[in-house]
Amino acid sequence: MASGQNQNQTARPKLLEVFDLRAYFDTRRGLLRAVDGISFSVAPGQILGLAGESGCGKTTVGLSLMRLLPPGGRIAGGVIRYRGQDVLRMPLRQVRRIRWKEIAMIFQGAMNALNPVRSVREQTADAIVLHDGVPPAQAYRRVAELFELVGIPQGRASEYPHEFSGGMRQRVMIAMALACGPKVVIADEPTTALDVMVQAQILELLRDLQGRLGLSLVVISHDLAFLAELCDHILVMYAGKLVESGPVDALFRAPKHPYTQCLVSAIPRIRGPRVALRPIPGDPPDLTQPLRGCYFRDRCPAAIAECGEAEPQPRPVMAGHLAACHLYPREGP
Amino acid sequence: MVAPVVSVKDLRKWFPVRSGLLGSILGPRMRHVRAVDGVTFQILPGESVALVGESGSGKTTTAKTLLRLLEPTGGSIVFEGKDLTHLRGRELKAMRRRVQAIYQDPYEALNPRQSVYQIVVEPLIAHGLARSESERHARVIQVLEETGLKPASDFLDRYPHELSGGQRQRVAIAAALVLRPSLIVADEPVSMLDVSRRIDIIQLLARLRDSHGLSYLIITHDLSIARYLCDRVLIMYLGRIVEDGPVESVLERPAHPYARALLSAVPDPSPATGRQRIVLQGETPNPIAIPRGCRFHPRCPWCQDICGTEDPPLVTLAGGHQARCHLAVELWQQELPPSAVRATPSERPSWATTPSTGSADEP
Ligand SMILES: Nc1ncnc2c1ncn2[C@@H]1O[C@H](COP(=O)(O)OP(=O)(O)OP(=O)(O)O)[C@@H](O)[C@H]1O
Ligand SMILES: Nc1ncnc2c1ncn2[C@@H]1O[C@H](COP(=O)(O)OP(=O)(O)OP(=O)(O)O)[C@@H](O)[C@H]1O
Ligand code: SF4
Ligand SMILES: [Mg+2]
Ligand SMILES: [Mg+2]
Repeated sequence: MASGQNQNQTARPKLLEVFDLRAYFDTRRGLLRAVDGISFSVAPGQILGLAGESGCGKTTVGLSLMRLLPPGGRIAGGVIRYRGQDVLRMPLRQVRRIRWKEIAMIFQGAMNALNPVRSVREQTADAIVLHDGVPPAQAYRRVAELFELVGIPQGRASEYPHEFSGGMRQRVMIAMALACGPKVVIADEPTTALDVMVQAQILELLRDLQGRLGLSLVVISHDLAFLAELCDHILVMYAGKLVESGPVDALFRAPKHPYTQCLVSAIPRIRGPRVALRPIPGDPPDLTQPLRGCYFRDRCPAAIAECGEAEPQPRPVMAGHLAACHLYPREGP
Repeated sequence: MVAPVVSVKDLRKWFPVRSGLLGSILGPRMRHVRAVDGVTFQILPGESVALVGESGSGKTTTAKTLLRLLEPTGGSIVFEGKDLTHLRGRELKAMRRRVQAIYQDPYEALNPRQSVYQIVVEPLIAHGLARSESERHARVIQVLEETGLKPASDFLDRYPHELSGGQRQRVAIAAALVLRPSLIVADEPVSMLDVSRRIDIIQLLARLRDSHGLSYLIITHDLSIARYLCDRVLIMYLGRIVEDGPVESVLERPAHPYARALLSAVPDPSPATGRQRIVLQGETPNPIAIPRGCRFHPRCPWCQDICGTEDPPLVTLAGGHQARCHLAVELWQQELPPSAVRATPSERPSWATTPSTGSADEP
């Protein structure tokens, strides 16, 4: 099912390809299917957004790409290819040549978990020594370049995390992610809990870095409006599955999947007419209890009989645009 | 004219800078963090007012001082006709019953070792409000159902960790509502919630306001929340209100440069808005060293010579819309682009404008 979808996402050559990825957690309540058959790809220079409600598996996708799932979690299937190399089947020694050096990640909430007793410069140098094995003197020189790049004034480099605002701490995290010169950076909720102005600053920084360093970005956020401003292409996840994948304009102008339609009409708009907000009734399903049919059907305003029977697979609805929904049974125009 | 529920005048809350290096370097006039530095506003019965501003602008300190969780440094707070600026003891407690607070993180706000029933009944007991156990029980059931926790009996014995984020915030709202307050102060009430839960809570707050005639002071850094829940918006910068007006008027024609920047920074997926994004660089300056003149001038894209020396007055525009800026009238009346005015030559402009990425292509 997974193969073949990807050609539609974009015509550019691929840097990172993910086919039918499955990542499960063994929990007390049973096997939890956090990511359950997801395919997508990242082209060089692309800014890809990964959206969806809390618990839908966004972070687990990011951690899988890094091969850094927490204990209890494991990759249960699928293929991840970086420049054609099979990341899931390579020995750990080889993974270390890719992790941080080719694919890096800014972890969700990590800016609030910096070491309180080491200066931001020291901590960034520590990360470089750890990930790249260079001597400390060289690491400190690189910290200076990195801080310049992400807009941390040299005069503040010896300060401690508590002296930094949320926005400045997030810049430190971005510097750490860039330390080993990666080609792909995964940013997990980079602006959550930051105020609107700082969010705009981080957005500009990410876009600027993408352009200057030719990075590919995978930006994870539950804030669709933020992703709309930053990304070229958006993936929408629901309960461990991909429900829609499309270019940013099409996705917001004409969302196809009823879940995406709900999410888009749930965004409070600050400009234009003040249209009523529509809440999405109900809650996402329990991922330890596999369901028949479409996982969204209990909350779906447009469900039809078929939705209770078979699981819808992502199908092209337009060029470069997929939706996994029984309302779109055939290939689109 | 209707008497306001609360009227705050020239409210100040300064925190002393603890002695030490900073205290000894700074002159005596600067040994304070001027978190709230002359704030004036009123809230009418049934009115929802949003207090919006960057991190560190003083929103939470304003709320805590209003709630008298902090002792004001100066100014006055008149609540339902009574000056409570320096109230103490029993009178303060009586006022506390009428003003309730809701916080950002419902998980932190709720005692993890108390059941939902205990959490909601506690304020009733503390204020000696319902005489009998059965009366209290009935009140708790009633507010839980009002906040959408139905059937209430299913929730009474649950603990916070057994609830979703949205349900926890409903419990916090129920605990605030059970005392039948006239004013609810909510500090970022939905920012921790998922999009879908966020709308539920916004709609719940709107419904409760209408059914109970409540007034709200809603603190948020998200202007779009203000648009959906509030009648009026106060924009705060570095301890002061810099703009105050009806929400649609402020959103359509913001008069203060800071309000403009804040508004332009709100992300919005509507295509083809053609807006100019004004991204202010840097952060709110430290309230220990408040800039001379207009306190926004070092970051202001419209800054003039006068702005560096003279504190602008509060200018009244129209329809209850006010702004504290030397250019308020010009900015409000016509489009005065930042490039059309001269930046103070001595200062490198610390701002940048970029075109919005909102796509311009038509379907
Ligand atoms: N270490 C773990 N052990 C067990 N279950 C886990 C673990 N980490 C995540 N999960 C579960 O896997 C699912 C996906 O979690 P994940 O963190 O990937 O979601 P998310 O989309 O990033 O959510 P959020 O927006 O809240 O960050 C959730 O149901 C979560 O409870
Ligand atoms: N107890 C205190 N002692 C000293 N300074 C304080 C104290 N409380 C707050 N401040 C300072 O007062 C200023 C305003 O803080 P406040 O928490 O009111 O801002 P805020 O607008 O609520 O910000 P946020 O959006 O981050 O919650 C900040 O500079 C803060 O560091
Ligand atoms: S008074 Fe001057 S510096 Fe202050 S906001 Fe207005 S134009 Fe900007
Ligand atoms: Mg996550
Ligand atoms: Mg605050």
